[in-house]
Amino acid sequence: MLQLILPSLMDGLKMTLLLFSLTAVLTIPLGILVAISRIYAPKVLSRLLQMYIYFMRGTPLLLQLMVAFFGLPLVGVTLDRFSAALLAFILNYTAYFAEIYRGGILAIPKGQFEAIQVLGIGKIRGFLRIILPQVGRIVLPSVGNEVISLVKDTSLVYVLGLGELLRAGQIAVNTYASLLPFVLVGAIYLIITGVITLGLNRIEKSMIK
Amino acid sequence: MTENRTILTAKNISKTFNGKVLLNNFNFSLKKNEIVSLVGASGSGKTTFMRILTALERADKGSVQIDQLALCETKENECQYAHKKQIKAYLQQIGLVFQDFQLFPHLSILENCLEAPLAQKLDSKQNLIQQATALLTQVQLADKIHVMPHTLSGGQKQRVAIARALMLNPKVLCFDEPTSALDQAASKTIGILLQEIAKTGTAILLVTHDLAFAEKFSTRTIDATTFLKKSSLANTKDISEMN
Repeated sequence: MLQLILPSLMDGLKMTLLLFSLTAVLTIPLGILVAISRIYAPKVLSRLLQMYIYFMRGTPLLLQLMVAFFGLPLVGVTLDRFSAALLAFILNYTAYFAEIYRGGILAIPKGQFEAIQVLGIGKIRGFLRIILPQVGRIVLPSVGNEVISLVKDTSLVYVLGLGELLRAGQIAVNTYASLLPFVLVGAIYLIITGVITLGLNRIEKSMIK
Repeated sequence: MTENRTILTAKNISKTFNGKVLLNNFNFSLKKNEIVSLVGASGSGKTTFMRILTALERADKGSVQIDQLALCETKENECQYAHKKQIKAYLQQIGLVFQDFQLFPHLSILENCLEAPLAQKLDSKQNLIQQATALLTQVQLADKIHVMPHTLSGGQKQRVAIARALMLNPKVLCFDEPTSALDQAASKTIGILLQEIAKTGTAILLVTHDLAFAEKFSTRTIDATTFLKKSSLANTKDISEMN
């Protein structure tokens, strides 16, 4: 039976990993940009971003997925299932990451910014070389949490009819009247999360010299 | 004599914060080779004065200049700050060692010293490494060049902060409470180091509440409590003269 189940689960896994990796790669840097803008941009832009973050964190991701796919065509924007799902994930996770980074930036002592100023290091270089690495250390555990949540949240795209890992498992359960596919799906999620956790631990160790 | 040349001049500096007068027409000058201490209780405005000199805070009134380079001037009864480029040039003349050092925790001691001169493109990396190594040797940290700041004691961190500031060859070096985190032995080491630095021509301003340290290692001591709020350069005297 395993031979029958595994190919469909692997197809589902591909979709899960594609959505996960694209979202992670895009939202982690986007979150930094939004966080910097929230703190340093003119008030109007900062306010707008605050509203955006409020909406993204205040409504369920499931609803946002449905709006991206079923709602956007009403205003003339039609996306295929995967693009709609990716858009919803990017908008949602950028908001969460932005708030995590904002907390990290605000946690850096004021004296570090003053040292950058007095030493004439320059705002951009100072931020990239002095502030950001320290922010990274502070936010890494929270970012790790979000990344792990993201792996599991990818299962929500079933609502758009996309064949990700859990949906593939669900179909296999119905087809073969066995719970084995669910066990396998659970094991695959655990393996993905385990690999991510190991990776994050390595990054954390490399940051603490 | 060159040794008596005035390097830093601050005239009629006034600063009010939240309705409280911190500085009122304060006049101050600093000569080459001098170590001047501003001594006074917390809240007397001495740190604010130093932060104005290092452009971390803005004066309400007054003028500040190092040699001929002005940070701010009073024009039509208003304090006008120089444009960005000039402030940048001014800041290259003055260094600050923070009370809590503010070393960059993720960079090694050597990297801490290199960051600012590399950013300002003062020299090639190789030459700057040589300069930093020499300075760190001078402050007795030759064996700590590649270690991280969190492994150092308070006195060692202080010396790294001094070396980091000296990498920019400032004409004026300011210290905010240099002995607050140090024991007596470390304070003495820092005091001697300050005198060595002053001998090379750098003018030093200390802001401290440690009167004993100030009297032992300064060439001039100013009582901030008395002078910052109602003084002029004319009546700035040594504490010893006041008593």
